[in-house]
Amino acid sequence: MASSSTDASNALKTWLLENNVQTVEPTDELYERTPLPEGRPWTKDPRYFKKVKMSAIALIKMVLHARRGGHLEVMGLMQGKVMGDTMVVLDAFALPVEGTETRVNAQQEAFEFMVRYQQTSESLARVENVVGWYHSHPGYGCWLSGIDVSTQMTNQQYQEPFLAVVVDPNRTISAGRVEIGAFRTYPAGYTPPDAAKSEYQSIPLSKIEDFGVHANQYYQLDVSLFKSRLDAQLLDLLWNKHWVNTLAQSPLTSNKDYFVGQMGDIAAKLDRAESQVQQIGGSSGKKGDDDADASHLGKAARDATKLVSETTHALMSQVIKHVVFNAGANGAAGGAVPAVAGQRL
Amino acid sequence: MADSSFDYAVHPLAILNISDQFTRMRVQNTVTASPGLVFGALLGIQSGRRVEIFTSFEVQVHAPQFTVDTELLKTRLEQYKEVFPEYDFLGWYSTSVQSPTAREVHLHKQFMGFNELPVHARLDPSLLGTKALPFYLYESATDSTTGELSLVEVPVKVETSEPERIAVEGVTKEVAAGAGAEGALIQHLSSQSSALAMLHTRIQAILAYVKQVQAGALPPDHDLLRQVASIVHRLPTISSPEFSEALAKEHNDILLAMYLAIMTKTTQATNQMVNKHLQTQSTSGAAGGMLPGHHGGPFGGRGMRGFGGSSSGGGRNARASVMAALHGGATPWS
Repeated sequence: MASSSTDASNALKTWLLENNVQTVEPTDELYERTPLPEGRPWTKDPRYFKKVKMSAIALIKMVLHARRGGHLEVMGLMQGKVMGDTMVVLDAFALPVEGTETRVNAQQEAFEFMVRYQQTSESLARVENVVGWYHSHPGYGCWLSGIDVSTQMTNQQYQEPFLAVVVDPNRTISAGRVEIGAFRTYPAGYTPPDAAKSEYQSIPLSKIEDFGVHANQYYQLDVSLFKSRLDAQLLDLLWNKHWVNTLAQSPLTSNKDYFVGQMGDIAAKLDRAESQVQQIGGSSGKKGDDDADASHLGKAARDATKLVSETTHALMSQVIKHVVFNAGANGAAGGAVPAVAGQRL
Repeated sequence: MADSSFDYAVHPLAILNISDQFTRMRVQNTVTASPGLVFGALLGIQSGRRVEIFTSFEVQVHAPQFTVDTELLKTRLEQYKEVFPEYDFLGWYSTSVQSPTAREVHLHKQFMGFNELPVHARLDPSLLGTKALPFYLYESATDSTTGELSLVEVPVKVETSEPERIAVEGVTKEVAAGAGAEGALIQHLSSQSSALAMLHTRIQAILAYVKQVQAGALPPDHDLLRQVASIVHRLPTISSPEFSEALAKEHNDILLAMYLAIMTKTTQATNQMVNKHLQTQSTSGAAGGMLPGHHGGPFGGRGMRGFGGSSSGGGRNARASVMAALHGGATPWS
């Protein structure tokens, strides 16, 4: 068994190198008690906070809670502290509130629960305060809706420093990596100097308006993860145990709903594209290159590419597994799948 | 390690939570009942003989008698129940460097008010960096003659759900966000390949053992050999014609979806090309035709207007068929 763990550690090291991760030894200082900076500097600069550091357990708790909600939006709060222009999230807890669509707004009940929970935390020697809230957008990406923006604005007025985090559990499964976004809103009436276009993300047709109208009222913070030295060692050891799951699980089955939903959305976008394309064609196209991605057809094409590359990844794992575990069945291992597929096409 | 009539599984979150609490205690110098010791509760689901520990939270234990703050535990438990009604109190944990002693039995009894048969988990932070996960689970056992309580170590499995795996992997390797399609492919394939490498080394170990036994260098362990035989007999895992058909169907569905995505992209590219062409036509056409050869051709100005304009030319039909196909393409999935 000695060779197997060397192998695992090699695989891990390669990843760490490739992804340029330092197990920051001073990570542990992130756990120390830090008083709030004096003079409330965030009141002077609307973009004072630029980075978010999130602990391993906070991330895992949020992702699990979001996934548990299924199609419903869930929400919870984050505990942590502030270090310079960085907001440190050390832990998270769920609130007993569920919403549909973009209506996660159960301030009153949530507030009551929060106070009770926070009191218990203090008696358990947890010194961190609430520094933000998180909620899930199952299947429609990480951004703030109109309601989220107004909730966050209120929070930033009365509970500063406060952070908003959005997790998409369905896309997390589909893409195989955690889809998370951290946001802060600008004060009312403030116009950002650089209305920089955010990175393209696929947003369902039913939400596009909501996204577009409010996109200039908040900005996104850079999220990085951290782990303590003990966490790092534990995670190394856990990988020795849970590599099996990498082979055992298939997003094709566990996330089928999402794939089908995305298909429907692309079809709807294509429907829209049809009328748009006709107009442009008729009036000797005024739209240039810049709009290539903004047109409905462009969006549909990008979404389709993204969806298909994800499903293809999932299919690759299926084929790998078929070859590895069912090889003996037909004698010829590699040929089995393509042969059957070809015959059916 | 004793065999248990229960089947125990633990999720990474529960273990990481203990580590978080321990780090916090160390860094913040929190006062605990005994230096280096933290205590907490284990939550999860028990159904029949299967006990699954999903998460954990800390519990206050007061020195010097090691009394559990049951009031606080009750309050926290109720708070968890409000959000996760399916979770029950299953047991407790501590970060001890030694096997359970009378102190643990004393604590164990106090937790019995919350669960008749609680389990005790122990994480040994001093053993990290070695090869095995220093996480141990103990069951309560009562001596039938003396009625004395003791703790017996039982086997425990680590299990992860799909979102948990992704989150744990994300933390372990901290995947660079915003990596493009290529990055995603490389990441996906490398995680598959390292999992297969793990499988391979494990099979190598079994193979080496069986060879040694065959050569007479090692004494045969019949229990182990039976297990090996049962694994070997399970291959191929599935070989029925129904499975091949289902797999082929899924395979084809995805190939079809890929085909449609490519068609959508092509349509977009064609559309962009047409628009650009129209732009140059409308400006250069007035200047007396900078592309004279193109005027009469099939891609000339007039033909172009027909393409995007009033008549439903080839382009529109192609798009219509893409859309129809996409609508149809969605059905075999559902």
